[in-house]
Amino acid sequence: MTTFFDTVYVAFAVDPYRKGLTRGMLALGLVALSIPVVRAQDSLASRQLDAVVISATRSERALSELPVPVTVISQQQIKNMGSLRLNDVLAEQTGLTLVSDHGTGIQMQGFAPEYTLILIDGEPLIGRAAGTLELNRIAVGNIRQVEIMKGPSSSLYGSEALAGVVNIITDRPAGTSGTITTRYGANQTTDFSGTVNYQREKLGIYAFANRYSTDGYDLTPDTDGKTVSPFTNYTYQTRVSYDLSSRTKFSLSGRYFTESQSSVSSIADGSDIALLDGKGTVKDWNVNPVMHFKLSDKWKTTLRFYHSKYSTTSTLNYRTDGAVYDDTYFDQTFLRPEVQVEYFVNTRNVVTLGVGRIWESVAATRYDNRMTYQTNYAYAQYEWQPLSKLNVLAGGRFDQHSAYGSQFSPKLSAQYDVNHWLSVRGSFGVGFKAPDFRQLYLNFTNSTVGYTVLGSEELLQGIARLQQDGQIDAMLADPATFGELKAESSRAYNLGVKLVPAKRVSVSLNAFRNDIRDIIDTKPVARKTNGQFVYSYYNLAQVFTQGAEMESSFMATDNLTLSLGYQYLVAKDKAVIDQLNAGEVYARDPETNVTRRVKANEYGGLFNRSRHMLNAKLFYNDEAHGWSATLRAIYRGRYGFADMNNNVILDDDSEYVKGYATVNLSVAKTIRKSLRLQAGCDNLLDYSSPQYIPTLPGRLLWVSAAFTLSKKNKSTL
Amino acid sequence: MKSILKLNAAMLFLALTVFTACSDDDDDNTPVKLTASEVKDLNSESTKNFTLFSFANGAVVANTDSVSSKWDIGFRGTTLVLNGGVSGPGQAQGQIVSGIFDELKEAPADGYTADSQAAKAIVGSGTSGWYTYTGTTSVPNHAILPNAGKVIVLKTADGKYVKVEIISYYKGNPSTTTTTFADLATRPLSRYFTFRYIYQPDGTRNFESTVK
Repeated sequence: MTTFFDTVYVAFAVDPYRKGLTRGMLALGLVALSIPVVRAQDSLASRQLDAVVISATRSERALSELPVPVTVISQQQIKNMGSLRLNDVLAEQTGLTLVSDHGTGIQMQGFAPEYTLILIDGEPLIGRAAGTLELNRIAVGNIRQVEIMKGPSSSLYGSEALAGVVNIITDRPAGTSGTITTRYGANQTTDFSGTVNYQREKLGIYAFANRYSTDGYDLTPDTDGKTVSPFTNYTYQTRVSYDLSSRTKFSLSGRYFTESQSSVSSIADGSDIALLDGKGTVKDWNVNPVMHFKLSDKWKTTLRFYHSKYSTTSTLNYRTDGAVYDDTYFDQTFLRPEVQVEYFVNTRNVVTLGVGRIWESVAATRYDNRMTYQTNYAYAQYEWQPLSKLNVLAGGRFDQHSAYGSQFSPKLSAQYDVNHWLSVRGSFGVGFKAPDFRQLYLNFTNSTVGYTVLGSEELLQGIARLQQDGQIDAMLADPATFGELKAESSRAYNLGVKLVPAKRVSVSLNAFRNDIRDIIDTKPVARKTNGQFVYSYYNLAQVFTQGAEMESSFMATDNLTLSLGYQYLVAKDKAVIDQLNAGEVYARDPETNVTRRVKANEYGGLFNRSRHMLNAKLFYNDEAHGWSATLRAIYRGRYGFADMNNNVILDDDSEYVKGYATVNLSVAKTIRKSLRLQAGCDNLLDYSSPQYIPTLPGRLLWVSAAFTLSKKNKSTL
Repeated sequence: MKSILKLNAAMLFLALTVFTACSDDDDDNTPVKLTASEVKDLNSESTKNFTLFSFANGAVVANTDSVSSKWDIGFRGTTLVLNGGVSGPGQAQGQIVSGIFDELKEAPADGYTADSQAAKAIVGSGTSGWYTYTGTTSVPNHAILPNAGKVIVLKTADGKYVKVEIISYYKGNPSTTTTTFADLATRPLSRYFTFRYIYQPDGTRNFESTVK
């Protein structure tokens, strides 16, 4: 049984001071938060509570003892759903929705994708376009579990962990086995995965390789080019662990990802239409050596080193003569050494301290030079159990940044177990998001339209240069008033309960409120002689998001589980509310075009936020006969798309996209524990909306087969 | 709507709806309630000449009278001129105020400017102007949408006060939120103004009633 876990962690998990950890470790991987995958021996609730979570404390802790809400999605659940990429997994989770802006990201508690930190084994993935980290880059075939922690976690992770954290925990060496998985689906989508597991006493090796390719799809056949162009990508991931001694463990992880895409598009060329052939590549790699030292029963030290690079290229060539229309590149690096020390004072007190430094750099077509910045940081965390029923987690992190002001991010959370079926928990935290390279250093002029965007550090020089060149027609704002960019920051409150009202039922409720200030926005600084504008970044908006979330599961029989999730969300701009209350917001009646005053209750809040989101899922799992099946329905309520009546805010019915549901189905049969056949249908109802939701293809059918070979005939399926 | 007048003025077609307050043989001093008049589809298609309009007559004025005080405001695409300053021999001045047409009971006492070389009194695009050009960044693309909550207040060529709300820049005052409008192929012709106004003939700044 112990080989199921990374040997590196097992030594620490069997800690005399924290019984909960041991209990959690034994259950790890065999249980899921909401989906039981082993036959019921005890109640659903107790198994749910036994999941082990890393994200909340940066060390393995039993979910039951954590005072913060964390959702854990197990490998088994991911397999049963037939998910291939991280976006497939996250799309179905309560309170999350996929949003598309230069890639597919997730919206969490009403925050845009740039405010959620995406980690692989606790280390940040880099490479965001306009703030969005493309989730399609992440294959899930090697994922042991996905942890979703909502609410700010800058107290541990620093910048970007403002809405929350998604931590992808990859598989670790366990036993000796190999798996091959193939899948074919609509749009010529093929997926091949292979894993190799090897383990000797001290040495463990895990390797994963994946090839994913698709022909894309076209929701607008009458235009040139496809909605999603064909692409192929490869993911390689490996982890080697070695026990240097009983107290010293070493592990080395690495990831390499490469993707190429080809596209066709057209532009107006005088009175003609010219066809352009596009080629794009994306690459990222990272390497992550970690040393664990168990100095004594009370002291643990972890040394982490993480280096990652992300680069893209994109070219557009005229089809007729191959001449270059556009040629751009982007190149980002991230390097971070970190030391973490844990001190187990006694069973009820654990202190964690960490210190590190980050070097980041970006070079790109849109930047003048390679831009660099550094962050020094230190964090501290205190896990305290003053009463057997009370768990308190307090922490804080200080970030000192080379390009903008320092940040202190505290967080305090607590959970009280009122009785065996009711726990209450709450937290307060501060999160922040540093201005990114684009907001600081961008120097970009759109070659076709002619507008210019300048980062805050480039603004004064850029304007002076444009003025010298005679390109400025009129100044619209004093560049000096834009000032130095501050980090965006948020104060967040979460309050919730966990309930086990009956033997096979569990419910968790959480209410949240986030007050965000200094949101970075763009506004025009000057009008150019070509009639276009020069834009720059500034801190302005104050926004809040608030709502409530419910997750529940009900185990109808030993084999059948039903889960329900719901989020209610309100996200509004405080300045707009003030204007509405002052009666200063107007709209034109869509029929008569006559101006009228917009009432406060007509304000729909921020665009792209659904007030209601709902999911209902059925999981069937008959291990004795090798059958499993899932049926999942995800509903996204109506949301604002764009201002149609020219008053900037969301207030008119014509500005909303209708609510819609997607239903996904999968069935799997495992034969002799080594062959697993699976078939599924995504978007069973064939819902699509080319105008508003180009990222949603129609109905997709797929089939897959997985073959596992393992020593001692032990299946990892 | 009490009466509808249709008239052809010069070569321009203009449908003009006039709300007339019927005053019988009342005392001359009794204030008469002012009601809005609406001009539909004023054609400003010419890229050369301004289409000139007189608020006192509620009618288009021939271009041959451009060097007179017979007109108050001129339209040529999105450019609006007032008969004063560099644009004409009259005394017209104007400004754009934020608010709702019906709620503006009185013209502001000051803040008026005349057309100058540097700028027109009635600003065109932008948040302080009368319209927004949507460009490619918002739906509908490439549309001229009058800014909501902007009332043009002006003094006519002979110094009378008028308030004006520009309602549409497109022929037939179409809804701008439809797919028909969003599609450039099916969008109605531009440069056709629909607007409503209240003209105060008695020289006061009051927009509610007038004394004969």
